[in-house]
Amino acid sequence: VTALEARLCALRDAGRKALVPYVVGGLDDDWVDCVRAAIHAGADVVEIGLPFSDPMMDGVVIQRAADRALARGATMSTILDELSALDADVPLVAMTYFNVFHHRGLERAATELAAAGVSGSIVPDLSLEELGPWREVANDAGVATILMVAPSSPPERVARLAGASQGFVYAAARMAVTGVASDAGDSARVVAGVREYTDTPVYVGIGIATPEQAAAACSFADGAIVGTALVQRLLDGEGPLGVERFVAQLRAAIN
Amino acid sequence: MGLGSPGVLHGMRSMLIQSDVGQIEEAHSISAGLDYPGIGPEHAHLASLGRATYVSASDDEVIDALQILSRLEGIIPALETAHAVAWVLRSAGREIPLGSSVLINLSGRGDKDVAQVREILGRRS
Repeated sequence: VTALEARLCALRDAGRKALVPYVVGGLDDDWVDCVRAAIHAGADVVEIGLPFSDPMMDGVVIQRAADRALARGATMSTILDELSALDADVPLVAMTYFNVFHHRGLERAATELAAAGVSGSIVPDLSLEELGPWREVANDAGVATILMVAPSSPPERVARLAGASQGFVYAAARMAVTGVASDAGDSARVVAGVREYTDTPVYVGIGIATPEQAAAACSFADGAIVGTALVQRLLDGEGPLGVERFVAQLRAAIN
Repeated sequence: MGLGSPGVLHGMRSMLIQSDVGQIEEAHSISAGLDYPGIGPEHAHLASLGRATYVSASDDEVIDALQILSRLEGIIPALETAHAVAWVLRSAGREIPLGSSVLINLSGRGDKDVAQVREILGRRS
């Protein structure tokens, strides 16, 4: 069991639902302060987006944020450099697309993530069948490989994904890019399906935009991931104070 | 092919037009089917084996080639396909000796492109 998973299981066993806000790395000068604010307001894990030019799983809001970060010159290196100054007391997981790691070199990418304090990765365009090389170097570096289960995943695939996912299982609430719809979708069914095959915690993401939706997801899942709704606030210039306010509302709702 | 380096996009590892940190660059082509920052992995493989040579054609050459084939043969090639015709026209008497028999694979029809071609020709005149 990875260090991330041990920690998230302990969180669950203590009866605490996990709140996982998503922040685009390098979005603005104060993006690390936004991560800090999210932690201060009650995040249990922070998902850091390493921006990619072609984010095929993301909707227009996160695409826009990624473009802004890239235009500012953000790269995996600059983001991890800035992140290593954070000294976070909650786990950080990186979300990106495979070419970013592939181009860096898998072993080097995994080592650099770990050195910056990142203990998990989410790579939506890396399929279960092609996972091996990344998983091997990530395991060596102590970086958990978090996998996503979709509403369309057939039971035998859910079983394999649930068995292979480390840290937590990312239950996608719907067949959509991020940020296009906001309701629970099929997430209750997806979560129940995953639980048949694993004791790894299951968090719901994609379509959770409000404190009420986060609370609803946490009535059957172990945690909720909130991306677009938070990133929109950052694009609107709300900064760390806006993050603090919104994450505190999410926290209050799911407690 | 000329500008690419190995990368992974859309579920395939192939040659991609990308930056020095793996961000995909914008591609450009007059034909929608070629407006893509990568190539099929089979082509990358054939190129690396030296079993196929890959060439390019400019937008203007493509529009000319489409018109020439349409006038001479009554066959309207797709803009993608017209790239092949354009290269043959350019290469006749150079890479391709005069008097050669040349086989061109007309891989798609241009009915789908006539509105776009009309607009381009309207801008030209």
